[in-house]
Amino acid sequence: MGNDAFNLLVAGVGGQGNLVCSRVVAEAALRDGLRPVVGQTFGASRRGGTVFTHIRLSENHLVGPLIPSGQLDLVLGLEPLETLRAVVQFGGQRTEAIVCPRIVETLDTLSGIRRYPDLDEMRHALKDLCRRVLWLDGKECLRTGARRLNALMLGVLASWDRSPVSEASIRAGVETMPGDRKMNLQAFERGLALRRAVLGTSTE
Amino acid sequence: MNLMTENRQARLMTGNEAIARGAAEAGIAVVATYPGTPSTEIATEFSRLTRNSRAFVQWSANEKVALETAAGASWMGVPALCSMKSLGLNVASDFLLNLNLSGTGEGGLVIVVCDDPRGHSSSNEQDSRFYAKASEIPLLEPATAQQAKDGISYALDLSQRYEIPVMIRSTTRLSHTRMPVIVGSIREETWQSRQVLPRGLFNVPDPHLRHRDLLRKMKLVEREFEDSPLNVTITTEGSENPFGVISSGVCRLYAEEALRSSGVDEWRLLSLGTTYPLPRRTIGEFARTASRLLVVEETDPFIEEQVRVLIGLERLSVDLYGKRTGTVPAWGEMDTDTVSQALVEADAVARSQADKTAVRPAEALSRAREMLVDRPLTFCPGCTHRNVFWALRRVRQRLGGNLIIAGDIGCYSLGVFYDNTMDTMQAMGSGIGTANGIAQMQRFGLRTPVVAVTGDSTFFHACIPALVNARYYNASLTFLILDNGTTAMTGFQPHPGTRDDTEDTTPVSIRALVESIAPDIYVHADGESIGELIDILYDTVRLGGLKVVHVKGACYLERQRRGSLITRWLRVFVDDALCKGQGCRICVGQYRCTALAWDWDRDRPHVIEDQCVRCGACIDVCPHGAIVGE
Repeated sequence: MGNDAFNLLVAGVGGQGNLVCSRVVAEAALRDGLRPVVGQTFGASRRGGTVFTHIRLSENHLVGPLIPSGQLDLVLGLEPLETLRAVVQFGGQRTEAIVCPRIVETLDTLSGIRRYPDLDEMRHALKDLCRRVLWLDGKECLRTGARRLNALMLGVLASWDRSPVSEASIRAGVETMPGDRKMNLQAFERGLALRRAVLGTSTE
Repeated sequence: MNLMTENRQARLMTGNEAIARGAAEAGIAVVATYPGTPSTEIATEFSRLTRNSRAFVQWSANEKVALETAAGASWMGVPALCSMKSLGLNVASDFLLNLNLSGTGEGGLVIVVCDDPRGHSSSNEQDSRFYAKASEIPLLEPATAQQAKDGISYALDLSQRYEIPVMIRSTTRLSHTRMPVIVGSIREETWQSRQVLPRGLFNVPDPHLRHRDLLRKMKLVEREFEDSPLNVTITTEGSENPFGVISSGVCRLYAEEALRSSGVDEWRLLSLGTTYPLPRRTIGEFARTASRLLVVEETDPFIEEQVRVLIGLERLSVDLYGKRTGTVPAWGEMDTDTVSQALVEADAVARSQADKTAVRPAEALSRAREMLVDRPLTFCPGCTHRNVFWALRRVRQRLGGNLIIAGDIGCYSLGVFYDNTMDTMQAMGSGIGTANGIAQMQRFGLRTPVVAVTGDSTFFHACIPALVNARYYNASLTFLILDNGTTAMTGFQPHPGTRDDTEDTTPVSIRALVESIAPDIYVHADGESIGELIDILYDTVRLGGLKVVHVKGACYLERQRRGSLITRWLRVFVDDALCKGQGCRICVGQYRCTALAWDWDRDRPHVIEDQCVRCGACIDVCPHGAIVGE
């Protein structure tokens, strides 16, 4: 990590559990001896707005709450459109993305003023803009249930080869997440397995 | 202490949580506040931390009352804290600019104001530090959550010793950012009220002498600030004649990060935590070691201008860069990128060296940008504010577009984005306030009906004087009070009309208050019946006189929070046979409840079951009777 911070961004929509997810990662980092700074966007979170949480992990000095442009290392995408938005805004040559393809419509796509962007096109755009993209299985994400999506995503993160935080520390955080502890841990395990399964079959 | 040991003791806290923790550790007994982003969580967290103690938290009617409440406690010898957002200090400032001269007694009074650079959740962008200067009181600007926590004890001690209010200024990025904080222990209660007030709590007949005495105190405070642990200098090894940066508050993190990643070998950073009165000796010594200095602060050049005066007085030979030189923007929020750019502008970093931006495939980037659909703010499903604004749109349409709607601050402020239904939005209470003036234009030929809109919490906060004024001067207008029984915008804090079913509070009736000033018409309306709303509003706005429409609204977020599961309908759905499809689209295209969506396959709208709150308001919206409840 050296002098540079590791910059992780959790991208999603209000109500997806973005803040809980970020909290687990940041507390795991603290357990691992890093200095987390977590910048949050509030307010819009209640009303279906974009929610980005910037998790910046450094070894020595506290850094600013927002990721400087181009310096995003990893985006944990709870929603595909928001993942793309984060990559466009903060992405650079070292950016990698983990994407849950379960969509949340926008006001204009709900009302039929615009179409929600095509999933394959988004996937291609992400691949062109990122160093590596892990596009999760949509059915698996759906099967998990909205409230446990963040536990699943934390499982995927924990098994990511460039994860800045240890599996043990993330697991410890998942244990204390709100909701059913057993169900959260199950989703976390599925996330771990999901990542391994993907690695076994494809090299995106 | 090594990092691992330190980390085991540290917890992640937002700046606001750290401030609340600091207040509990300092032994603060009274917190008075009015909710407002980004300050609200200070009082919420303090309540949580002290729930088993006698500490008193008051969600006051407005910020002036909050500050007065806190001062009352401090006068009686009990330590108090008053938190508010930037705009709240405007409301409280009248009292503050008297209290500074009268003094705060022995208890101690800390004022925390949270500014919102960029106005993420505010109707303006304002730098509240000028109030510290205007009232000549000490000002602290913590840089980290740790300093925010530690700063409270420091501020309280200062306030107790000098018997003046001490102001702490945070900004959004400190208040809402989580960082590691090492906590201390929460202090045991020792609170004991005096039985009589201290003498001389008034400034007459010689306020100028009180002013003189205050300035004397501030000289002593300045001397203390020279040694304050809140001011930190960070220096690279062997800096001979380096580039210097002075920062205040959270801007330290931006400055430090930008300097460390700039490639500049030698630099010095003075992170100021005490910014009024400025520790001039500390700054003078710092400035003497640098040939060029950059000031990084949010939002106005508050420190920069004082440093310019200091450089002039001390005849220092240093080039000072900042907002006045155009090196840093004098508006908006700071961030690391902005400071990195300023380092280039101030010639600390070569332009060629600074351009580290990776070139990304332009075609893919523009393709991605085209796909990005925005997520604008809008009312929640079932929100009765949408219904009221829908009704107002309909009434305005019937009146040929001639309907003036002065707005106010709250969730219903979204009315400015909802087909521009609300024409104005300024300070708390300014809807009915400006409507007073607009309505009086009838004497100069105005024929358009005038409406003012407010919410219940805003009504108590700042609407009553304007309503009384409207009555006395017979302003002909319609005043809409959208009453959902809570301060919804900031997360359901109580206001004087809220029922909490305890014996600690007695709810004040909006109806009784309004009727006591004898409006010409008082009507009660149901925010969930759109047809009725349209009829009442259409009839009322066309009448002369002072008319008050009290709309009983519902906040479904609040209902969900309380676990209330009662719904008006079991199911609301679209009858495809009656729906006119693309030719109409009123429900999804104009009314725009987010529980109604367009189904491209059926070419008809449908109700999203897990979003719909089954209020049935949309049933009245459909002109073809195609939305059905059962």
